[in-house]
Parts: sequence; structure tokens; C-alpha cells
Amino acid sequence: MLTTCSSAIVLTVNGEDHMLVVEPNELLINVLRNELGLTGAKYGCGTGQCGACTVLVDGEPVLSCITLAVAVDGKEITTIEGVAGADGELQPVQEEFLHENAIQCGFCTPGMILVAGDLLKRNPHPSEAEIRHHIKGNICRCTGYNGIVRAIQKAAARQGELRSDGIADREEAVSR
Amino acid sequence: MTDMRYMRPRSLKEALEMLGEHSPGAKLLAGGTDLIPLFRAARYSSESSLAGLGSAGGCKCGDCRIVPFPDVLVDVGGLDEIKGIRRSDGFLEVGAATVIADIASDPLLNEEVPILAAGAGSIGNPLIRNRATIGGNLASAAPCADTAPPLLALDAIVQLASPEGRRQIPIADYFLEYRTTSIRETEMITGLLIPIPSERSAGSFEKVRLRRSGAISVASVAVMLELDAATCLKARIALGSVAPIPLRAAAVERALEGRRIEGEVARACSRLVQQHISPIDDIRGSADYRRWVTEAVVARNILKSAGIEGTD
Repeated sequence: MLTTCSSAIVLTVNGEDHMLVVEPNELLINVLRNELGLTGAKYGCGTGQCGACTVLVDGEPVLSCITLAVAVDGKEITTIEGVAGADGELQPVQEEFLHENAIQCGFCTPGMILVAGDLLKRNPHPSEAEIRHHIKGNICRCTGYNGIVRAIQKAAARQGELRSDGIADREEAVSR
Repeated sequence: MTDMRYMRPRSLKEALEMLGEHSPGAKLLAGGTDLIPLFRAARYSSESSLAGLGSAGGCKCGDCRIVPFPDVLVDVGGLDEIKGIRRSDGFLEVGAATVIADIASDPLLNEEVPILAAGAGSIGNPLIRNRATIGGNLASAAPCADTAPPLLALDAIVQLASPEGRRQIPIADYFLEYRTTSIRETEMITGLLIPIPSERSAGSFEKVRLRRSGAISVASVAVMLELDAATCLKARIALGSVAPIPLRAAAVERALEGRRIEGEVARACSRLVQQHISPIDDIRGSADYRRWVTEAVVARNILKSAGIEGTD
């Protein structure tokens, strides 16, 4: 039911536009999970401390459990469901998470993969320290992090190979 | 369901009009990293069985007052007018809605006022820093606000605006008492002016914490010294998490000024910090420990600022 306080918003989620009517205090995570059925982002601490609810808003990692849905009206949201190709083909970082046993219970994994992707976009050749620094907002209680760090290192190396094969990013090559 | 109204102004002028029209009852939202958990803590305490779980019925940090949902939430986080970092006439100007991650990584701030970049970089975790703003850090006015000690040590000026006009106040006059500031009801922070420290100045920031990320400070210390060789011409010592507000230790500053900085001088002057602080016991540390560690960390950072020892 529409109340005077409800707002109509448009979210572009994983490339698809959704018109939604939300309460002004509704959290982005609840809209994604309950309205759109995208249960990849997890509800962990609910206070912005654990990172399980991470999604990308206009390409930047954001904690959806402390973000109001109305506040991201008109923005592009990427959830873990939007990371793989349309044909289901996994990104290198996703494959390396599988190969390196970087996933155990899986609760932190969607956030970890989005944050790892954000790191590799900003910094294609991160050091181990830079990787560990970048994932500090995402807590994993199973793996001890070593598998996650290895997975991100291997994904970085694979992306480097793709680039040296001449497939990627001329602009970046020029800027270096 | 809520009666709260959410408003997103397109300009600072519009934001101030909304604030004027709906105050009291209007609250400003920027990154929301502090406010949203506080609002939710309030909801838990009134509506659900989670009441009583944390201290004061909600938030577990122990520092927070419970804030009820406001009637009107004015979202100023997207206002470009109050974002960004600029140099102008001997000052650095930092917009209130500049996110903490940008402050921590900004080349100009890292060059001219590294203690502010360091304080910002010590906040929360990378995801929090992507959304939290410097204006929000000051407006929430927690004793542990990590940008406050650096800004106090840098003699920053808080820029405020209201429908009636603008004014500026020294940050030393900004924090009044626990979570209370000199911001008036229809005012908002628009930015900070930071005098660019002279060539002879050097500073240091240290946050004592229980882990390296996502940690609220046990105690934090910012030091700025103006030096002529090893002689201290001017000193600023600012502290967080050891009193109801972030504050300066004027007695330590006065004792340092005119002295040649060396180990024993730094330690003797740092003892005077005790008269300024009134720390509490909480889950992060006891009052006794805070008293001890504050004095030690002040001494260490005086020496570090003077380039004498303990460089990192």
C-alpha cells in the first residue's frame, strides 16, 4: 500500500531497471533480497562491520545493510549475481576462489569477490599487503584468509596474462 | 512502515531551506554509516525483543546515544557543492561531504597535513570509508571521532551554514559536551578550513586500538609542533576517546613551547596530559589503562614529530 511517505525509485540492478516502491527507511539489502530475490548479498551484522552485505553502487563497494534504498535511487547496483557473464561463465577471480578453496561456508564470499574485483580494477598488480588491506572490511570466519589472498593474487596474474596477450586495455598500457 | 520523510535536495540552498522548514525534527544524512545503525538501534529498542541486548537498549558500541527516527531526513551526501579538497590562500578547504576514503588518499592532504589523512585512514574499514564523510564524523561528535584530534591539532575552522547565513568557528570551540556541539538547530557543516602548516611544522597521529581494522579507538593522539631546530615554538596536542569530547591538552602545549625537545622533556610535559583527561572503563580498555597509554603515546608522538625517535 502506498503511504504518503513511500517513494518510487528506479534501481538498475545487474544491468536491469527495476521500478520499486519503498519505504524511506528500507534498507538496500532488504530490497535486493526480499523484493528482487537476489539473495547473494548476505545479511550479517546489520551494522556495517562484517562486509557480508557488500554490493557495488556505481562501481564502488558499499555496505547495503546500512544504505537506504531511497538514497541510491537512479544508481547502478551490481550484486554477486551480476558478476559472471550472461552465459554463466565465471570471472577469473571467481574461478580462483574455487581453485584456492577460498570458499568454505560461503557467507563472506559474495562480498569478498566484489571487493576483490574492485581492487583489481583500481590496482591490477596488488601486493599481498595491498590485498589484505583492501579486504579489511570483509570478515571471514572460516578460511583464515590465506586462500582468499592467494585467489586474488592468482586472478591478478591471470588478468595480467590476458593483458599481455593484447586483449585488454590499450589505454592502461598507454598511461603507464 | 514509518512516518519519516526522506528528502534529497539538489543544492546547498535547497538543503538549508528544508532544514529551516522542518527543524526541529529534521536530521541530515550523508554517508549514513553512523546514523543508520543508530536509527536502527532505536527501532530495536522500541519495537522488538532485542531491546536491552546492547548497552542502552541497542547499539553495542557503548558510546552511542539512542537516536530516534527523525520526522525528516535531508540527504546531503550527494551535494557536489560541499565535496572536494582545494588549496586556497594558505588554507586547505575540505568539503563536509567529502568521503573519508578520499581524505585518506588525497595527495594534497598527504603532503600538507598527513596527520589528517592518517586519522581518516584509521576510521572503520575500507567499505565504511567509501561512504562516511568528514562532516558526518564531526557532526556525530563521538569522543572517538578519528578526524577530530588531527583537526584540533591543525587549528581547523568549521564552516557552518543556515538559512540565516554562514559563520565559521574554530574547532576548539566546536565540541561542547558528550555528543553535543555548537551547531545550531538549522545549521549544517559545509566544510573545513585548515591553515597550511608552515615549513617548520611537523606532526604525528597515533590511534591505539585492539585490532588493525574496524576498530574504535582506545585512545588517539595528534601532535603538531612548530620547531626551530629542536626548539618548540608552538605545540598542539589533541586527544580522542579519553574524555567526553575530543580535546586539546593545553597544559602540555604550554609546557612544550620554548623548550628544546628531547626524551626527558617530552616525558615530563606529557605527564600534564592527566589534568585534561577523564577516561572511562569500557570493553576496549580500562580508565587506568587509558590514562597510562595516553601519556606514553603523547610522549612518543612529540618525539616523533620532532624527528627524534620512534619513527615508523
